[in-house]
Amino acid sequence: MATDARAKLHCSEADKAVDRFLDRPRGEPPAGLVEHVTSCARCRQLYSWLLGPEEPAELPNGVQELVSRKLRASLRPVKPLPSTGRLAARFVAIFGLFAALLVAYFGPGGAAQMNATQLVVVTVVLLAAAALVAVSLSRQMVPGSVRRIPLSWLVGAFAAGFALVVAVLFPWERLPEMLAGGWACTYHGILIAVPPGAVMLYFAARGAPLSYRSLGATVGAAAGLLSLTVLQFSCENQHAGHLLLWHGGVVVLSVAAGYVAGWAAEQVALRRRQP
Amino acid sequence: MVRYQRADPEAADELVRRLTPLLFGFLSGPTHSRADTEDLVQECWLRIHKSRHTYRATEPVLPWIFAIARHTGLDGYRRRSRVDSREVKTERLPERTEMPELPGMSLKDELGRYLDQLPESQKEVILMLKVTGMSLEEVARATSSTVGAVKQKAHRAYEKLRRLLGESDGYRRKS
Ligand SMILES: [Zn+2]
Repeated sequence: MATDARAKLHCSEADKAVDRFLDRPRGEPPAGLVEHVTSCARCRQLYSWLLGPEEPAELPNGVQELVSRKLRASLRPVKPLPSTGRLAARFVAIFGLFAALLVAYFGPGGAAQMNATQLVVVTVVLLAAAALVAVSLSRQMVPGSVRRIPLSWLVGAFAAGFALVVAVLFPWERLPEMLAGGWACTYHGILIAVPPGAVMLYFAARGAPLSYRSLGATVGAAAGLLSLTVLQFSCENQHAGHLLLWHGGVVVLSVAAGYVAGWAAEQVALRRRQP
Repeated sequence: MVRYQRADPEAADELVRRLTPLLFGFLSGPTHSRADTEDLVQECWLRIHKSRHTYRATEPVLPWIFAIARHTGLDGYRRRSRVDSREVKTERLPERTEMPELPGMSLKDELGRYLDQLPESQKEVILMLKVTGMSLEEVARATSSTVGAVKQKAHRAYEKLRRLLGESDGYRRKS
């Protein structure tokens, strides 16, 4: 009985030690833990595999040789991609270029309606969002990139930030006015989003994006954000309801469209690889 | 890796020699046959080869490799489940069904069975930590996740393994 209790205590300590071991970057497991694991049947069963040295997997004959031969057959020098910062700067440049051209084309009617505070705050929010999306796109081009904040949080934070800024800084209209004539903005917004979306997709595809759905949604977000920016500076209806519903709607739709397109591309790729 | 990018054939061989066993360990699973795993490993190498320009010398190699391996495995799984659902009506049982517990079964096999009862995302984290020897930070990179999320998955996986093991011990004692 006493041994049992002592063993239990030790096991729970071992559990904690394993948790701590997992928290640390690579390294040797603590000596006490190894000692306990070798003497306790339960922990040996559970942890010896984790803590012990990895036995090399048994390889079937010829696989390595086959792979080597295939790689050698198409071995050409490749130029590594530029750094994430440079890639992101490229996306921001594409964004800025398209935004400037389109606002010039449609006329800066929206900018003329905004006061200085509105203009500055909205510009800062949109630029920050563009930079974040650009970084996200650049990271998705490279497998195994760092991700400190989940993508969904970023999207949520931007949506909340934009909604808050608009709701606080811009005057609200009544419901019938809000609903009237807004569709034209959404429709044009979506049309505007297509060419820059295609250009960004072209650049992103030079990397090795792993998840087409995620890439599609991000390109959709970038293109939608560009439309939002163009609409913000060129649309003369600067009421909060209109901005949120009809302009914001463009981003929602383009993210959804990008996701669906990515999903479809994934299905096609799966079918193609089918033996 | 940098020499491989510069098309040095020796470097390519060296990489294949060093990484293939790790890829085999990571991509093999009790639910697929050896031939399936072989195919996956080869496909994974082709993807690595096609993506080699995206590796940067300043970054760690393993997260880059295993991010690709992970997606190769995921696609393989999706493809198999699609084929299986088509074939189910017409023919055959899956090649390997749940094995009965044999007295001579090794510790690794038994743990493998428990691992298979974990959710895919937890199993993947445990396999990466163990088979590849990557740190939490590196596993986070390979799985496009954050260190916090990886840590949480590893802890949950171990809690579940402990519970499963506790249950099977109780069962053995009774019988
Ligand atoms: Zn408008």
